[in-house]
Amino acid sequence: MRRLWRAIRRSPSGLVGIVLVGVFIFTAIAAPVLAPMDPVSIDLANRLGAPTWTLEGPGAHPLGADQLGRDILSRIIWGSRITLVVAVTAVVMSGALGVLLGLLAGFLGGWAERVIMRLADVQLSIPLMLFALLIIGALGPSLFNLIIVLALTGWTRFARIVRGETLSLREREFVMSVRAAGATGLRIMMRHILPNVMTAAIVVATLEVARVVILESALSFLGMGLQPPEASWGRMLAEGRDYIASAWWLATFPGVAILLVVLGVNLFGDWLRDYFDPKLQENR
Amino acid sequence: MSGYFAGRLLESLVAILGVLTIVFIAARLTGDPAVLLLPISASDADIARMRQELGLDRPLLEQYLSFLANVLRGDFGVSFEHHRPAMQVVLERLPATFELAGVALLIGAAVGIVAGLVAALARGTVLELIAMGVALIGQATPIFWLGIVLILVFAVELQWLPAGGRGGLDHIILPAITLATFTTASIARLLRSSMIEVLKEDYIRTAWAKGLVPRIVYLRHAARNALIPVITMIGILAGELFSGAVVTETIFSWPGVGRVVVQAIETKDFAVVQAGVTVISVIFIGFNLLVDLLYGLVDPRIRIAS
Repeated sequence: MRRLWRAIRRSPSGLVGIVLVGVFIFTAIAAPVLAPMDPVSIDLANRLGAPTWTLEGPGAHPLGADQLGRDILSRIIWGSRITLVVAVTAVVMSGALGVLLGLLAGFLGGWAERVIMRLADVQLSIPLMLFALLIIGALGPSLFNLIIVLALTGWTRFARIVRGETLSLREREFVMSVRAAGATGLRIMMRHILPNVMTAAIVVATLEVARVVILESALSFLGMGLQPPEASWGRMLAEGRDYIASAWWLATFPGVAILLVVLGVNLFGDWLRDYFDPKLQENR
Repeated sequence: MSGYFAGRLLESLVAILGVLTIVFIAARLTGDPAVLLLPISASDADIARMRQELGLDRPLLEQYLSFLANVLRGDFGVSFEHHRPAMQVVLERLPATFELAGVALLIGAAVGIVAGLVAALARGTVLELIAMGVALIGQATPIFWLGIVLILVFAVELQWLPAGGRGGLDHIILPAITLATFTTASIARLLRSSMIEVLKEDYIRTAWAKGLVPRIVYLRHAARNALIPVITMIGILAGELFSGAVVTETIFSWPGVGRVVVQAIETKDFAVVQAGVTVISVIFIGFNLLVDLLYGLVDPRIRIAS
């Protein structure tokens, strides 16, 4: 615990990351308490109302109101829930798939490894966004399909790192000794190798969250994510785009929210990587 | 030597086959094309006839093989929306996407390399802090939002530049900057850390000991080696550029492949989606193959290792 605290204090950027991520998670959990207004209640008298603190103010809305008079601050606060749920679900799914396939590839070797790694290559040879469009175009836009796409595009990073770790763990003495003691392959993989690759997987997962948040908002922006009236940050941005000349606050604040979350998660992920294992540093 | 090249070529062909298989499966997930094509009033007999015409009553494997045969001839079917072969619709838009991605890559490489070098050489100063702070924020900025903000500032408020469309040089400035941001930030961060590593190497100490001037040590001895990881990353960055192009083209009404694919999804014009995804993926695979081959030519260690 003391080591953790010292590591946090020594890295200002890590501290910023932890604070940003903490605020984000807290906002998502406490959304009903924090939001000053109902995020979907329509108030046409106040449509496109300016933020309270601007020259055009004073309105009732701290960050202004959108084209239907809905409170933008409340929509951003509620939107954090959707962002968090989508990101965590997608990353847990892609992580589980990627870790499993990476373990199998590294542990079994031979044709299993070749097939799995070739699959990863194929996945990586379709630019992400186009793959997402292909799948959403086929299945139709919905929350569930969005999560499926995000999960399917993320597993390769987990698989590659876990395979590499597994390859080196496989030859270590402690694995040799349990093998000599007669443990089955499945048991060695699950009980002895899996716990040792989890650190690497957690670091990848953190950085994946950042990627998923961006991709989710981009797809929602293109109209392929969540459907109205739910308050998704990407959707808010897409709707605000039509009012860019008259009401800049519609598109600006959701963008700032996405930026802060992604920045926070990136900083946190970098810090986590250095904390757990400086060797893992992959230059990005 | 030729084994390495042949191996990479084979890998690329397998990847292309994989992409085509995914596109084929996605097409089957869309639902029954016969039902989509016919009016709602069509009878079951009409649907059955349509299915037969489209070859949908044949075994799946046979459909797959005929799909591959058609694709090899560049035939992805006809676009409902454009009433022309889907492949033609996509190929027409390709130059616009190349132009945008190319300019963005140039900006990204130029600005990213300068920023990365400056940050590495000005270690511990305010300059490094600023350069890396901007790069971190650049990597975290959603490009569709950046595009909107740039339109707001430079097209709506200041009215210096057009908000969209393709035309003269002034039209490409905002979309290219938007698309280049992520690339610039990634290159700057990568080059900085790789330069810092290289500067610790023995051969740099030797270069100093020989009494070489800083310009020669930094640029000729250090920067050249520090750039190697950056070059390897260009393949990955190309994928990011194509992904980013989809969004950038939509914001700036840039008539490229990404925009036509997004529009095709809205109108359920799936032939165009398939053709667009395939063409971009094949270009991406080809680009990566090219990068690897050039790399193998430049650096013999890679050929031998594999």
